[in-house]
Amino acid sequence: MIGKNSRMSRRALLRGAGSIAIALPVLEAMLDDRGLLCGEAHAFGGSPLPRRMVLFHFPNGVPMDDWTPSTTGAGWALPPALESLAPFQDQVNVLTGLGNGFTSYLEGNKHDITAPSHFTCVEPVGAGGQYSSAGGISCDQLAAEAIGVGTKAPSLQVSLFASHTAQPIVNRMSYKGVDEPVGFYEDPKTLFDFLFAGLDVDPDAAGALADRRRSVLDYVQGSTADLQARLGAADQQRLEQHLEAIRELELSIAALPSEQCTLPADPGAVGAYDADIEGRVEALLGLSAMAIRCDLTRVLVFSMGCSSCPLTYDFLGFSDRDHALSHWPSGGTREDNTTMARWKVGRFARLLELLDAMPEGDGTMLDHTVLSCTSEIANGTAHDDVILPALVAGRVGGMQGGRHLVFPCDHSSPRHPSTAAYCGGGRTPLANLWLTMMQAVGVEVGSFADSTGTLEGLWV
Amino acid sequence: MRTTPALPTEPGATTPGAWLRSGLGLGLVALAGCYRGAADPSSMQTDTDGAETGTDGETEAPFDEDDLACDGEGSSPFPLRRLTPREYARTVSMIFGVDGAAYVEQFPDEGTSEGFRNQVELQGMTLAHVTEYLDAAEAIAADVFADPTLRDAIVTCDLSESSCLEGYVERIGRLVHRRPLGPDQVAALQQLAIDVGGSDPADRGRVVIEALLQSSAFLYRVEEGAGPASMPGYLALDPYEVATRLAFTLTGQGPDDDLLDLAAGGGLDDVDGIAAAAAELMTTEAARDNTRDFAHQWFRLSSVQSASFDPAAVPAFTPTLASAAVEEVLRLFEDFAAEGRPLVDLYRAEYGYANAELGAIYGVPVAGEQLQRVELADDPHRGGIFGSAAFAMGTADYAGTNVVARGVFVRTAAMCETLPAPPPGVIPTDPEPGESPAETQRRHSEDPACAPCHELIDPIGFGLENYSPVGIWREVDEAGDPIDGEGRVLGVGDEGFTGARELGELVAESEQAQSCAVETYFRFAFGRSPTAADACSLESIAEVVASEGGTYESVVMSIVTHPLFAVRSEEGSE
Repeated sequence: MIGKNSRMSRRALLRGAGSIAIALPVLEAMLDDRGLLCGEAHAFGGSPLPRRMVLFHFPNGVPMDDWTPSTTGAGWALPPALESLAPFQDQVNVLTGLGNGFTSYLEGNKHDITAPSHFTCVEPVGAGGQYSSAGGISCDQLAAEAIGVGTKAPSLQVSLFASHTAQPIVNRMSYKGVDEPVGFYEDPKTLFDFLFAGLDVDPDAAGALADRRRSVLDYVQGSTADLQARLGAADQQRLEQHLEAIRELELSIAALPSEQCTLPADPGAVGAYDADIEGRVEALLGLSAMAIRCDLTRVLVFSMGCSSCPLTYDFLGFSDRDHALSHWPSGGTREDNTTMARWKVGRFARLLELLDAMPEGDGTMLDHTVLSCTSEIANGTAHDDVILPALVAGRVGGMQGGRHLVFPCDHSSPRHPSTAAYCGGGRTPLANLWLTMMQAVGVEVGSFADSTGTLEGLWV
Repeated sequence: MRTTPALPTEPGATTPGAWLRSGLGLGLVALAGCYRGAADPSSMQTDTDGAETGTDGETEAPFDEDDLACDGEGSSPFPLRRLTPREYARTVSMIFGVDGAAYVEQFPDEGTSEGFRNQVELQGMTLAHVTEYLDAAEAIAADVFADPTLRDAIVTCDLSESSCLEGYVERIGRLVHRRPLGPDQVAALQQLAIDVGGSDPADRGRVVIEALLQSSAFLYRVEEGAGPASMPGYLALDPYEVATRLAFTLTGQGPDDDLLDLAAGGGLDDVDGIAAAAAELMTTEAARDNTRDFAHQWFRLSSVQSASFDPAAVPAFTPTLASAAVEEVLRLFEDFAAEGRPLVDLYRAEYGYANAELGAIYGVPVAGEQLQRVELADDPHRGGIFGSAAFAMGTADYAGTNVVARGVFVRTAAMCETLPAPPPGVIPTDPEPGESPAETQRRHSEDPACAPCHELIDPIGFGLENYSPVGIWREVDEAGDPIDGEGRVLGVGDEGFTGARELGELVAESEQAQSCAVETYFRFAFGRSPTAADACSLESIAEVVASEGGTYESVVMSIVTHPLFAVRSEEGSE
């Protein structure tokens, strides 16, 4: 089990002392050229600049031969699926060999396994022949408990589409625990309202409103606790989740945006999800980046949609859905899938661009952020999760980019010739990446799920 | 609350028979034991004529608490249920006169479980939920007090006076909590109103609403029970809890003042009272909405509403066509409910509803946008759920038909059978040039590794290949090849079928479909799948329903007057 002794953030401590938390401004003159003070990134008053963790997910994998660079180390040539990374190639590491491997032995239709296990790295659970939940906590939720407390959204989940009604489990990737999924925001207007509505009021009015809400929530907490005491164990557990959510809400209602926050424009109501996918993704990316900028969240999960969701990229020239095409060669072709992946990876590059354009300290937001870009499956041909496509980016703690790192792995399938060429046998759990990222942003965990250690070679 | 995952781990050792499990059939295996174990066999309704009817014409369900006995299977679970967004919206509309739907638009999406939107396993509780509950409560309170008509309907005196405030808290509190508040709760809410609202009457009024609408007694359907039931392992519900179950099950919203008054006066203390109250509730407009909602979920009409098609492959599809198709099924269901016809006859109905656009799909001339009744008795291709455009659209792929989805719908939604997910390692068969999706599927299903399951599913879909993705009758498939249209439902009517009406006849005559309406309404009413512990209850209900003609009314009344409806298990949700 993971230690949770690092849950109390600076803000939580301030609040515990009876103060109303305020975001302390960064006095940039006090920072050195790396945004560091006393060896750590610090804001005014000795408080560290927040570090952020971003998990970017894209559905339905990629032809691994078009993803994996042909050489290792630095100076690799951009493979076709990664061409859109060109402006950020020196910021990004390609990680080859990481995997979960649940599809190699669990029964299911693959998506019901790979979606709930991707960020949890444990087997999903269910009854009656159907998986209904992840089997444990996801790494973003662990990070949220450690570094997100006191922000508006201890963790923020955003997806292009996560409302696949026929198979709900594929819509969920974040879990607080078994049967405790955390849903995605999909609609730009809803996301805007959640993050930014009401932030443009004057501080006195905001403070009065927060006081009022706290009083009401105190009543709600008290009456819920009274009720909880009278119920059976299972019902008590459900109300415990409710009380936990209210505690998070109490902290988030007092959260104020950071000094460097620029409130984005209200996107207004947008049309159906498939009317303008490009515009929708751009709006969601912009709001997500500004949520980080404003310190409304420090943990972001950004998904390009669920695997079997009805997404059709007509602007790329496709009339079939992503998922139908992903079953290449029967559905689409290898080239179709590489084209789709190139576009998806391009959205990751866009997020890097947005964060790198936001100054912070003596650098940019990217200096204090670690980002991954992964898919829940590898090749669409097999829909397997044995060796997954993975990138890691950001300069948190001085991480170096621009390399292709290969980790011990083994894949007997002839469908993965390019990875087979590198993997020297053995296995590197995907959990090692999540552990590495969590530690990089200050989460005090020694292991996560089936992790065997952190990834070496990122900070050199 | 969760049972051990029972996912098959050894596909080689799993027979098709074991994979094809009827939910009720699963119970039937246990039923032999439960009948032997019944304390008083004479009390069980073992023949179809045994249903008792009150001599004075008053409804009296022929159940006693022995019907709960299912030896060795434990008690039926009653997990704590949270209001669905729909229930939240309807309840605040009823209490405050607002348009409740407007406040729940941004509630987290809950998804569906086998078509159902009200299943307890969908009901998470996260920061996003409580954030939306906060926003909704504040908005409702503000809107009520900004509108003098709405305000005056709930505020009848000066809330700056303490006696007025007390009465207000008691009155609104009873409706929101669905039971009278205790003195401590009244005092705490009054104090909160004064602390936050000061002497401002409107602010006092608002803060009470904000607190009540965020309280767990509103957001959950709390059932503490009033004491041991006569059956071991169960607690009897108190009258307010019975009123709440009745109201949500039959009307999709909380109980109103009249129903709470009835509960307070002892009117729900016995099965006659419950039956009378249920019969009365079923006449309301809210019950009509709820009947439509039930049909909507049963026949998975949300997948029709969310359907989208490749315009090149399926040019006839439009969103208005989807809406008309959904409405047709709802109208049909309403007719059958109102006229007391057997629900299984929905599968072989000889008429439908269409407007001009839908009529064009059916080849029936209809004018205008309004749906009109169309007679289909003379058209062997039409009639019944499986011949409807809604069925075709809800089970189609983006660019063509999907024989598997159609077969799965018939097996699961109409016959309540459980089908396993595909085993691991399955790779879809590659299409050959110029081949229809159904032909590709046929080759896939011939694979010995795939056949055991697909022979249960696919022949149903092959028999419906004459219906295009929107339900237009066609003689050739997507590839231009002639369709033979021969179908079969393995295990049911082995002679096979041609067309939707014949399939409907087979399904309607099947034992599975007869009991499926009961099982489906059970899921709807209790918010969960039946378990082995429910098998005896389901069996006894199904027998009574069969003896009463298999009507919607008999399904509803048999379930709400069953002893299970007025109890909960002792150990919480386990």
